[in-house]
Amino acid sequence: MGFATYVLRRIALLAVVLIGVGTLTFVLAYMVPGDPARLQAGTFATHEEVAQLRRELGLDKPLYVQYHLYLERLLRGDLGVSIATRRPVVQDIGDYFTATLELTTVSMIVAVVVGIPLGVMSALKKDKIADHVSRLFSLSGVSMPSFWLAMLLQLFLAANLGWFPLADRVDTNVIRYHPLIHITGLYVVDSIITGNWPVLTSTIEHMILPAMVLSYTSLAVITRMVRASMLEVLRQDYIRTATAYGLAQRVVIYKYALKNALIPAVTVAGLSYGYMLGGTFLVESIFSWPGLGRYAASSIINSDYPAILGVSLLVALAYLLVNFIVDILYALLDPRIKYR
Amino acid sequence: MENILDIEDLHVHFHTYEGTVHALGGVNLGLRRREMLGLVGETGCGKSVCALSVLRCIPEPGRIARGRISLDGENLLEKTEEEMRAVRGSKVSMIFQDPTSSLNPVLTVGEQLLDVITTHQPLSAKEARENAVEILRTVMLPDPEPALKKYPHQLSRGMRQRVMIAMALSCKPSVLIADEPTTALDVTVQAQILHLIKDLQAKTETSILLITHDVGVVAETCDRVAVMYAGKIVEIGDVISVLERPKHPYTVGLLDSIPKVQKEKPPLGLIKGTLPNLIDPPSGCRFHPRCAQVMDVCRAKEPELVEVGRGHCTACFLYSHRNSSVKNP
Amino acid sequence: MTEPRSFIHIHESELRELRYTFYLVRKSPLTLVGLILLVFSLFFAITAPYVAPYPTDIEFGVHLERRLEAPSLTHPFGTDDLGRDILSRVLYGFRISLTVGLVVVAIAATIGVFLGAMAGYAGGVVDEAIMRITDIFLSVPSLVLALAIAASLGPSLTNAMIAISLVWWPWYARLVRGQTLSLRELDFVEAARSIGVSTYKILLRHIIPNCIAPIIVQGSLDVGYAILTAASLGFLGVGAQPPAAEWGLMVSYGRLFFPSWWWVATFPGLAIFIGVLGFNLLGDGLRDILDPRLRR
Repeated sequence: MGFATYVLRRIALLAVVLIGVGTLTFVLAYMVPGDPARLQAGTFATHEEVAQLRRELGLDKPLYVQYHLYLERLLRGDLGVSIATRRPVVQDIGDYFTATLELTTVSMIVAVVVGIPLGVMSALKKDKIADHVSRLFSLSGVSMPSFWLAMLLQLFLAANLGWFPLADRVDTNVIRYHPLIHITGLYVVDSIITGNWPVLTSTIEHMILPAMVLSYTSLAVITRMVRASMLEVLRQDYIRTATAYGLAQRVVIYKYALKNALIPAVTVAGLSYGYMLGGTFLVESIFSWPGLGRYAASSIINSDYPAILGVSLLVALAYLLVNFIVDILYALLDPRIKYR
Repeated sequence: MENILDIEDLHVHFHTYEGTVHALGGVNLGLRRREMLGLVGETGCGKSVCALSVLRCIPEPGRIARGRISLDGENLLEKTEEEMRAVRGSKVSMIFQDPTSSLNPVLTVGEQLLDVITTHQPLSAKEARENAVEILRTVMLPDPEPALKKYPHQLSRGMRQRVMIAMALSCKPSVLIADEPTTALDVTVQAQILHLIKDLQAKTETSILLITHDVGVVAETCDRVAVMYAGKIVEIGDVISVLERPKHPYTVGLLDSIPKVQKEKPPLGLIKGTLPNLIDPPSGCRFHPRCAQVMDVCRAKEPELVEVGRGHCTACFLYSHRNSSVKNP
Repeated sequence: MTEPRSFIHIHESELRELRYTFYLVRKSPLTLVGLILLVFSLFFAITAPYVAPYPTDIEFGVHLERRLEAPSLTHPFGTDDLGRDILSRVLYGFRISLTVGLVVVAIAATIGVFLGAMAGYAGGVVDEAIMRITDIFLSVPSLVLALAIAASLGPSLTNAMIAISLVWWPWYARLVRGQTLSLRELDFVEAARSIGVSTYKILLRHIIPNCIAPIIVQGSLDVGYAILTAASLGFLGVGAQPPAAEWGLMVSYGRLFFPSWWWVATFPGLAIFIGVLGFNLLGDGLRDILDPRLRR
């Protein structure tokens, strides 16, 4: 029953951390310069209106009561009201959430599918030219500012060569003539389900550049981890045993070595997802991708603090869930945890 | 052919930053059919390197520089990698010292055992599985069928070593090399495993090379014993002959330094000095800097194995004027 | 009479290790490149105001007659829309970024080391509490949290540095806690405790000095990432504010002139890349070289 207790402990930890993050954003919200009631009511509201709003928001109550109210609101899914649009943040975010979800999922898939074989190859050809090239490639991935790469790709591949569209999620003309029925909010999934091929191709076209940029860093991190992990595993005694018993090279590498090497790689992939979420803040504006990142970037320009904090909280939630899944996967992959 | 395995003039070098380590400086060793040969020596004398050379599994930066290793007449050093893969695990098997680190932690015991079986034998899945259960039963692993689905960490160390032995014997090899098979085990389990190995040898007619630093183990289980020092065989012969009438000064010192349970306890013997640096091995006999009976010739020439008794040979100039050198010990 | 032993004699084994380290550095071309880039960056960080061709342009120069000139011999990186020489501004950016990187890592490491050592050594409630706090900080992606903190404090380079330090200390705390847990079981700590040395002294004199090595390795790698994070915050507008010559800010500013006047955004971005790459190459190489298992 080791596995069940492991899962339960992880869930308990998740709950504690979520409350903690909520507390953190509460503290940050409290630190924001200016009067929240005034900011929300706007410059044209009268003193009475602002005072009224202040009472409603509970801003005249002691700190711990405000904290309690804040947590309560969070549990109900209320992320506050945007200063810019005067609408609940949750409402503004709506569509943006699935757009970012789609982009990051595709980017993560690319990072894993390309990163793992690259890491294995790099480990097997250690210190040869292919390894050096691959290492330089991954080092560039973690050193390059994503916003800069995005701009360059946009300049060369979209503006100059015209191979890819400049911006947006899908061609507005295509959508007008072939309206997409939203089931999940993920354009790729929905267009496949409804057989809407023009939208599918247009969406994929538009996703290529942003996904390339977004996946680069995670790809680099995964490649490096898999390489290091494989090298470590290949030095182990059990690999020596497998070779000493005449097992085929391919079996030794993929069955005996890789399975062990992937275990730490899975954890690293989960951590790099967090980095990718941060990356959307930098990359979405450049490609005008209608997601959380672009929303956050514009909220910053507008000093829309409830929006900034609301998005941060949401991103934290997504990140925590992904890592929770990774933790479970980790336990499934490593029999030493699954069977105590 | 008398010997199932013949190692002739084996030289193994390790090319490191500090220089070339002459790990094995010309090893001559013969393993007779159906015998249990013990190979003793201190840690670092080259016993494991010798074993790994037979399988050609020496880790980087090691290389076999010179020599011949014949298995049933065939020179293993001339085979291609593909051919060697067919030899490993099926004609020559090896069991390692630490059964915990030597088994893959993320694969079940069954998977690992079956991989070895199916790599070397064209059997159906059902036949292979039956084979696996049978061999596990032979090594006296309790509940062999459910054991197949277990992971190594779920078994005790003694059981893991039994699994390793099962893997080694599954394809009925002619030669089994056991590299310190009991060193990592508890004393009581040690006895069981040694007993098991001895038992299996009688049943399967496999020739076994037992590598150990524990002379007591050799005394109990082996037919013949070879003593190794600094990458060379210094003495080899019938186990009683070598242990009761050791000829080489190193062997004498080695046996003297083993504490014995006696009424009057003599002081423990000491061999002066330390193991030589094999990047720049001593000239002539590698033991000469530490030998109490060193002669001028010892510093100049390398001694060859000469017969000093029936089947008892030693590489020492103290004896060579009397006898002629031996090719196949 | 014993022979007097020379310096070389006494430190023979240490010198040998050092020679071996240099040999490994020479063998690894990527590490060498990293070292060169690093020296390059340090050089400009220190000498920028003296070496830059148009030092007045760095912050406040306005020369509208030279606005948006393409890269040329007089202006190798071109000029921006205020006529400022971009090369000079980029060179000054080395100073800002390197300072930010080093300060952030220093602060984060200091906080992290103390809290981590305390958590590891004290155990129990203190350990749990500190670990939960690190969990909370680590559960939000670092850029996002730094962004939220910097935005809440008010956009400025100083606040960005504070924000990043606050986001990063948990990594060091975790690292040091792990080290402390294994160290505290060792005999010399046991001995110190038994003769009554205060906890504070034990932490300071025994535990922390032994944790320093991995901190230094991790820290040197992190300087690069700190530079990248600071530039990202600058790009988003919560870091350095105009007219500072900070790279991230310059790229975001340059976006307005993209793609026709591409140089305004491209060169600062290139500088970020080169700077961070240097630290990563070197840090990576050093980590490989210092790994005791890979030596020999």
